[in-house]
Amino acid sequence: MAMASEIGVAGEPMTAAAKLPASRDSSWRRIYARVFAGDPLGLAGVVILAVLLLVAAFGPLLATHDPILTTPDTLLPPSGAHWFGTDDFGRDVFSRTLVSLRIDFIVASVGVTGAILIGSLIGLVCGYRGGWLDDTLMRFVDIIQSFPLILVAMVLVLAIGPSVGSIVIVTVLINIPLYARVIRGQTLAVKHLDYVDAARCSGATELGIMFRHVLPNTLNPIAIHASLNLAAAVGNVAVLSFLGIGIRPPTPDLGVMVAEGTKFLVQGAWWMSICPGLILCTTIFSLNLLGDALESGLDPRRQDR
Amino acid sequence: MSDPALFEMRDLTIETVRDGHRRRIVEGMSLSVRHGEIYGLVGESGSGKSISMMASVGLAAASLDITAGDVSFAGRRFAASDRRGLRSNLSHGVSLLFQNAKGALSPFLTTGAQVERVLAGRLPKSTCRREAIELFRVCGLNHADLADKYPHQISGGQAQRVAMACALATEPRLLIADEPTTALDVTTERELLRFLTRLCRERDLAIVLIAHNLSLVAEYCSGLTILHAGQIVERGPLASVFAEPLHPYTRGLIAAVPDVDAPHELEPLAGSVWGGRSDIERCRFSHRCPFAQPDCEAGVPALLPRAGHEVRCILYREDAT
Amino acid sequence: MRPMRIPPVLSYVLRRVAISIVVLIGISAVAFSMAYLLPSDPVTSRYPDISNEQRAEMRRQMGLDQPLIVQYARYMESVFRGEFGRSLGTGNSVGEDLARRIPATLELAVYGILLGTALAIPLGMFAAIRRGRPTDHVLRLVNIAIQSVPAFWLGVVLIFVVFYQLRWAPTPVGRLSPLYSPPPFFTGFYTLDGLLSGKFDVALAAGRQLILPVLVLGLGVVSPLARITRAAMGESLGEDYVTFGRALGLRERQVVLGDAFRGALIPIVTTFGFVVGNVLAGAAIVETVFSWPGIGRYAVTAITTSDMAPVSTCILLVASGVALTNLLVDLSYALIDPRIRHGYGK
Repeated sequence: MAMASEIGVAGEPMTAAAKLPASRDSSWRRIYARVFAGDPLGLAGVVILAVLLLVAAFGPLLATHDPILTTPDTLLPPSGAHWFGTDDFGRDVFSRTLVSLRIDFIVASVGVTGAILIGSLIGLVCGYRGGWLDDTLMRFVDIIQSFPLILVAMVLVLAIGPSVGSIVIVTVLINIPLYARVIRGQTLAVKHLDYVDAARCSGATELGIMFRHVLPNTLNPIAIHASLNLAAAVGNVAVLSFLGIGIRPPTPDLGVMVAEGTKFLVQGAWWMSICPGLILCTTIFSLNLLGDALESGLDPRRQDR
Repeated sequence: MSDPALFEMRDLTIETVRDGHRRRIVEGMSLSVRHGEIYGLVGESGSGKSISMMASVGLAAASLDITAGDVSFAGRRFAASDRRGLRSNLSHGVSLLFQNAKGALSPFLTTGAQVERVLAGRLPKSTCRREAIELFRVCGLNHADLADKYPHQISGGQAQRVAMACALATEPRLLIADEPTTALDVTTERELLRFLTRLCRERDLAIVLIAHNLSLVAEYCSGLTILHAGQIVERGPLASVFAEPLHPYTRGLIAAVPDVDAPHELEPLAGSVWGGRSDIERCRFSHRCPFAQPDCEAGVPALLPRAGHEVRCILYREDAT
Repeated sequence: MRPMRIPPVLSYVLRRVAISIVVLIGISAVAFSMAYLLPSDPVTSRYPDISNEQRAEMRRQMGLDQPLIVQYARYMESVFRGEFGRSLGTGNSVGEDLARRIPATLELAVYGILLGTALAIPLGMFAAIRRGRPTDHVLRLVNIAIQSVPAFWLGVVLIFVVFYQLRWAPTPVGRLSPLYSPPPFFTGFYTLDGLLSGKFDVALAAGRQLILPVLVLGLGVVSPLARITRAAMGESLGEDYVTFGRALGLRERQVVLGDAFRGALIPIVTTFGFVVGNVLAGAAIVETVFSWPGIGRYAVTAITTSDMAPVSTCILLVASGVALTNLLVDLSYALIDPRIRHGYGK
């Protein structure tokens, strides 16, 4: 009963709902193959992201220097020995960037995964059950979404106590509304389709229908939103540490490094801010490319255009 | 038939890529319309009738490749792929009417403003209002009642007449009417068609009536072309085609029309328009044809003159005139 | 007797206003609880060296021992009186602090939104018209690239390149170089006030000061706006009324700008609540980078120093701004689309 090829985005009802692909595996592989085969930009995003993930995973092995070792070689410009130069403590900026990338990736992806799990569950239940529960939760989501998320995130981080763990928790909290809303829309769109009614008539339990028939239909929108959202989350983690909240020195972090570097711009030491920032941009860029490719490739309304 | 055609489409071919295959959705389409004539273009949905007429005025979707053909109107000839050139005809005597008139009118302007907006293209601003009132009258509408209303506030029949007024505002000599009555009920349909016929007489207006309903064509047109799967299957003067329909598809269409004078069992046409790849050379109707034979798969039959008109079917390939 | 009939426009407006009021109440409740989340106690932070009995007494006097709902009611009452408490950081009342800082943020935000919109809408329209062709793909790449540069880093790069290296920009600190005195107050916008009072040199200096932060803020909203414009225009360009307009020989300009753009306008203005929220949140970052004396930097400083009153007030202010923008957006639907005005659909 996989319906991978019939999925619309966020609340758009779909046509041709009765067609069933042969099996979920083959259709998923086919769809994703088509998304990236027809889209060099999306493919580029995947390749860049894969490289960055490898670098993040093996960061400590690839690092040319000890990222927290202070040396007398302070504020050296980029060279063969120090690719991104050194900072005011004589630490190697390139090695620090590699290590930061790993932390930022972990924080952002754990946070987004948590938000997907909790948000989807809320959206699924709201959309499927409807009624007062749905009304109340969705109004609450409306209210939350009119808040400036960065400020709310800052307050929450300070409330929990600044640490890597609290940034993860806050990333989860501020992204829950997004998934709740998307999945609710998707659930509303499919819950009265013929095949769901058919499952109900053949005696499937409500819980079974929710997880076996409705949830699989929400996977494509989740894939699209997750990659774009991950890009935003990486940026937000960096913003928080740039503003001095969350990941704090001496733990290397891209936002912290950019912030510290600004003090040395006046001396012409641009590499401290600009090099880690470039890696940050590349990371966000690859995730956005991926998300955009998924969005244009998985949206059935766009395929024939 | 000595006077030259007002509108002539020759050998139009339209292709597109779908699911990784290049498909020919219109092939070798030709059509010729004389001054003041009502000409019928008949086919099921998907037969390519609307697409070819839209292409003839340069309004085919950008995703369609127009690979061959040319179109002449009032002595000016353009390649069918020259969208810009063809579109220039739209301000020089060609106009259109759509099936969904309410959707065709801009939802953001009152009906009066829409007509005046078209008039402003060729008339000084001061005379637009007067001319609009006149066009409303010609189209059987009360300007005082309707001009300040938005399309969503009027009925489907009124909307089609407002669209008509917009079309007439360009002073057309050819009107391409794409199933203009499909969205209307039967009485409104008759009224509108009678009105169109009167316009033809009074204004020397030629009409291409696109229809899937053969009885409408039989009643109002002087000639017709029947399209199936992007190809002409039969065409000629109305009397000749109806007196002796040759192609099995045409016969099927006629058999599906109820006739009060000669009641007969209605026979629905089996199957649907062939959706397969059109680069395969074979008769595109054989899979639903009661007279199909192995030779039908051998190639696309030619369009041959028989019984005073033309038909594309291997049943008539031996010279039997 | 005929029952009184409410005109559809009025009932539409009333319904939207009612929804906004509910949202505003919710916002105030969340803003109120935000302040209580911060790890600081107003008594301890004001009087660090008092005994536990004195502290309990102070808490009772300040009403902090009351149930939360009572405290919330008191909070709302003082908000309506225009009293937002006192900032521990500046020592002023929050109202005073904000009055001085709001114009600075507004000037930044208004120009930022104008710039972002002026860039995004043509970009999105052009991409929609060229849909699927090379121009569309190039614009898509540009759009993704813009979206991928974090504002704080872009600000730093611009300061380094344009100020330190090229020396084109004035010192990126504050609204006006100390060489000039601020113009007399008319609108609170230094550029406009400078022009209005005839001090063109001040207006010019204020304008030069604005360029970089406005650029960073404006670029931040280009991507979402251009994306929605492209999608909405792509849809409306396929509508029958657009094809019919072309069929009537109307000029392409008239069809694209008059009908198709108007048809796409509802989804576009719908994103404006989001855009305003984005710009106000972005102001917190941009103001920090460019040492801009606005509410964004005020809020950031207050949060990092656990200064409760300014935090909840700033959050309340920004969220109310977003909610009011959303109300205006909803009301503008009725102006844009006569079908909504007449109570049909949507």
